[in-house]
Amino acid sequence: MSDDPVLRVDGVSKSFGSVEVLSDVSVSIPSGSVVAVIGPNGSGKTTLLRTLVGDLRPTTGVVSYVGPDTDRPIGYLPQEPTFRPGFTAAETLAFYSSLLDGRDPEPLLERVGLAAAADRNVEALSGGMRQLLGIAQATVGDPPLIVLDEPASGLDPNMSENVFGTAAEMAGSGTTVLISSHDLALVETTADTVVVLDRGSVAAAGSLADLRERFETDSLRGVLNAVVGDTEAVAVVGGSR
Amino acid sequence: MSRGRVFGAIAWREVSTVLRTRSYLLLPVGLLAVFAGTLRAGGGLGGGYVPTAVDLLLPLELLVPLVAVALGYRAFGGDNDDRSVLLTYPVSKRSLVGGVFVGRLLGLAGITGLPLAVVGVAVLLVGGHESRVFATHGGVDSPVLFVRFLALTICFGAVVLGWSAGTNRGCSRPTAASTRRCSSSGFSR
Repeated sequence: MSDDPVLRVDGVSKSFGSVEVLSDVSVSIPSGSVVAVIGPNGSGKTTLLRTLVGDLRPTTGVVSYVGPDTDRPIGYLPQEPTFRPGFTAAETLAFYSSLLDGRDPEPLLERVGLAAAADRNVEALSGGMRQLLGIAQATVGDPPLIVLDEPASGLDPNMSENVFGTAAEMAGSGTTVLISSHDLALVETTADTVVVLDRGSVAAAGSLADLRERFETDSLRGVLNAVVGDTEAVAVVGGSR
Repeated sequence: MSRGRVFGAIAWREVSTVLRTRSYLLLPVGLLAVFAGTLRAGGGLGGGYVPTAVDLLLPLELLVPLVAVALGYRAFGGDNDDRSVLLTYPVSKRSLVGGVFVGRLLGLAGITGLPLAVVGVAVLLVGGHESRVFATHGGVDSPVLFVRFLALTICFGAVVLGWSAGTNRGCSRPTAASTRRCSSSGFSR
């Protein structure tokens, strides 16, 4: 991990009509690390990630990529990845690769454990396999920053561990991985830095050790409960409208 | 990577999508069957290119927009919508929209153009030079007129395709404004 940031987020707010989903978010993503964004449902994690990758334009504030100059600075796995029906997994990756250097997609499939399904049509892949294909897609072109929105969603425990392990490996080789997840145990074992979102604002951010110390707890769940409260209701930003 | 290659890759993916979708591949067969039935009833085939084109006007006016909408309405929606991912590649919005439109237009040209080309060949083989409908057309009947008819048919389809894909593009993004616009126009996201 390096102190140099790869991405800076300064005072970003995002509103949909009268509903403000993100409110004055400022955070710096250090390069070569795994940064996890956690928070309850409706806290704005996906909106934040979509804003960071340029899929949504912030209402106010600035997102600045300050990493190495490359054709594809940010790789992105959306929360619900979509793939063109009728194409195989290898063809799907080959298409994305053709937009950059046209490199062979085989190593990317091997990295996520999908080499055996290379010739299978994407509509015949299971939900977990589609998720892995999405992760392989996010790594096409070796972007310095990879943003994964709930990559373990729909995966069995072993596969989830594999995904987080891959993220840690990528961070070890200098890639920055920004990941949102509800799997606090895996976040705890993988993330170098954790950003806790609550009702569209950064409620806490720092290393795991910092957060545990600050909130006087020995687990990430304890940190989250201390920040957002132990509630069963979904946080609805912007009121009931 | 050059803008032209990106544009070409996106357009080719659309052509491949059309070629790999069975329901799309049935469309030219269906069109050919409708054309054959219409020409048999109207008798234009034996009269030459112009009477054939006149016979086919009504079915084309009705069916080309349907084919164009079938190709365009999902161009940017459902499993075809990976814009959020594509925009993390060096793909401009112009290349993306243009590539999708051109690729789908090539598909439309194939679906409507192939049955019309078969009809053109049939006129060449069995049609006469005299017109059974308008005697004044007997001297000007020519395959060039039929090719122009085919080209204008594809242009007609291109306009409907652009409208269909554009409407879908505006409706497939969950912004508050588009939600209001799409719900008031009867489209679902």
